This record gives sequence, C-alpha cells and structure tokens, in this order.
Amino acid sequence: MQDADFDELYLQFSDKIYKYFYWQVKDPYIAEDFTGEVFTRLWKNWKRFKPDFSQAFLYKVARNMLIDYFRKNKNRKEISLETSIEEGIEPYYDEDLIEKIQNDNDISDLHRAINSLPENLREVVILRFIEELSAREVGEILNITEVNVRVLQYRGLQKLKEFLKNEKRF
Amino acid sequence: MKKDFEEQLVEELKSQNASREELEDFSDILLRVSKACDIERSYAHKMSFLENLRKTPKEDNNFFVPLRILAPALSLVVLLFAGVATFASAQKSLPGQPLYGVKRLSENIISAVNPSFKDEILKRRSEEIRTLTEQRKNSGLLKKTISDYKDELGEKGKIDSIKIQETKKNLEDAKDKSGEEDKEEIQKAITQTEDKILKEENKEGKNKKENVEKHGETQIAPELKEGDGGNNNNDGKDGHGGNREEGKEDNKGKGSSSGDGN
Repeated sequence: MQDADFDELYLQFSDKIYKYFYWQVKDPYIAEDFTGEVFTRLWKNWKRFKPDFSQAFLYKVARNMLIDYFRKNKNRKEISLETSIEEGIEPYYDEDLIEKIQNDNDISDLHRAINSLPENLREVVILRFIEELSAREVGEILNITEVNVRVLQYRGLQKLKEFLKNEKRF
Repeated sequence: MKKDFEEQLVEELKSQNASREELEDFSDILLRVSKACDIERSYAHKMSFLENLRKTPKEDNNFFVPLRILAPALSLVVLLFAGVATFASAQKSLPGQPLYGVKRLSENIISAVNPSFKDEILKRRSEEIRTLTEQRKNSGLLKKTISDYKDELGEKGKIDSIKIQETKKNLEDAKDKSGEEDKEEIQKAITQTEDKILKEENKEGKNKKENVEKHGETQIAPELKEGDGGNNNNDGKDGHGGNREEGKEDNKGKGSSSGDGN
C-alpha cells in the first residue's frame, strides 16, 4: 500500500471515527482533534500497521484514546494530542459542519438519550447503530462475544425507547 | 441505514425474543438515529488534513520496540546500574555515613556465602577505627566501631595470620593518632587481638605436636616388625634373632645373632 492508499483509507474512515468520538464526548472540536490524533498516529507507524489494518483496529485505537481521556479527565476536558502536537499538525475545524451539528435538535435529543444509557450499552448502541458495524466487529472492538453484543443491543434499544417515550419528543 | 444491515439486525432482535410491537418501536428509533447521524465533514477539510500530514515523516524503524516493553526494561537496567554503583560506593563508607548500612549488609551477605571473608571484615573494622581517629570523628562513633570490632573478633574462629597482623597494625596506628579519651578503648582492642593471635598460635602448635606424635609411632612400628624381635629389650626368646644391629651394646638378648636363631 502506498501513500495513496492511506489517503483513501482516511477519506473512507475519518468521518466514521469523527462520529464515534462526537457521540462519546459531545464536542465537535474535541472530536476533530481526536480524529486527527488517531490518523496521525496511524500515519507515523503506517509501515508497521498496514499489513494488519482493519476497521476494528481503527476503532480500537480510537476507543483506547477515549478510555485514557475519560480516566484522566473526569472533570476537565483536556485531551492528549501528543503525536499531533509533536508533529506540528495544526487543528483545523469544519466550522460549517460544527454549526450544523450544534443547531440540530434531533442530534441534541438523541445525544441526551444515548448519554442516559449505562456505559456498556452506550458503547454498543454507538458502534452498532450509529457506526453501523456488525455484531462480530463490535464484539472484536469491545472484546466481548457476538452473543453478548446482541443481548446488549437489545437492552440498549429498550432503554432508548423508554427514555424517548418519557421525553415525548419523538 | 443499509437494507442488509436492517435485515440482519431484525434477525438478531428476533433471536432475543423481541415482540412485533418492540420491533416496530425499534425500527422508528433506528430511523431517527439514521437521520440524526448524517454527519460528514467536507472533502476540502479532509484534504487539508492530509496535506498537513504529508509534512510529517513516517517512522521507518524496523526495530520498533513497544514502549510498554522498552520502559520497564530500561527501568530495570537503570535500577541494576544504580544498585551496583551504590554497592560499590558503600564499600568505602565510614560509620555515620548514609551508605554504611549498605556496607554492613553486603558484608553479612558475602560472609554467609564465603566464611573466610570474616577476616576481611575484621580488617575493615580496624581500618574504620584508624580513619575515624585520623579524622577526629565523633567519639561515640569510634566507640561503637571498636565495640563492633571486638564482637567480630570474639565470633571469629581460625584467623588468617597475615590479615590479623594488618588488623593489629591498623589498631596500633589508630592508638597513636587517637585522643587520650579513646586510647584506652583502642588498647583493649589491641590486647584482645594479641590474645586471639596467641591463642591461635597455641592451638596450631598443639595440633602440630599431636600430628608428630601420631605419625611418629607409625614410622617406627614397621621397622620393629621387620626386625622380628630386634628390640633392644628383646632377650632372644622368640628365637628368631634378627636384630639388625648386631653387637649392639645395649643388646641384652642372648639370641641376638644375625638370624640363626636358636
């Protein structure tokens, strides 16, 4: 795979990774910074990673970053962009998209609903229904069985239904 | 949401015994999720990122060692070096100094493995005594070191003669350089050392004598047996004669012939 392949990979997956981050942290700027960090790390070690690259691998990297973020910064919204900063990658935000996101009520409502879920259900709901990954892929990313994913997705949908019913917005 | 994805999902929900009503409700939720999640950054935005990234060199390191392995390994190496350096520095330390405890501990460990190292320990204590007197250090420290020396000497069994002489020399030097208040203590240590040397010499002498006596009988007996009665006190009754020293003055035996016997 040459550099062109990396570009193709970025164009194909960066929005998905961005969405994944956005639905977890609910901040479009942080989501963009994290997306950049993931792909910068991937780029730096591309020769090593490319033979075994998979979509699940990409999500695992993203998830690990989130785990660190939530663990270290429970009260503060600090982020670790060590690789991006080290390489002098300037953050660049799609302001049009950010404006659209922030003004969209449907997104706000859904975000509230997803945020109400326990962590294990939230992860499955985001990966399964927002990222549209298969149950097998979700299981690989979260290190749980496919059967477990099916159980959790069912429970997640039940909880969402309950929340949205109470909200009476939908 | 793609059709295949939906169909697959419905099958999975059915396997969880989702009711028809539930499936309908879930379908509505998923539709709304699909609409709300239509988030896509502009092509120009993505290309800008890629251009920026091009300026970053890729790592071309075939010997990449994961940090999770490298960091602990490096830490271990650093700790080992630090340990060795500390051990080495400690050997020169004096009572009252920070690493002196390490020195004493290392001595205990070495002497447990190599008992003859105790001679060296005695010598070290004497050197410490000498150095402390030269440096006019705290008298309390000096007294403690002398006491340690005496304890070591008391525990010691057989001593190396060269090392003990060196030890004694150190103590004598220390006494010459010490203040009046310490001379008496050092002298006691010297006296004890001399007593120890004497005791060991006596023991050694006794051992040698015992060996001589033991080996001496053994040497004479074969000759006597060969001579078949050629004993000075032999009166020839055995009939064999055979005293080699014929005509010996003190031979009283009548039968003392060259072997004719009777």
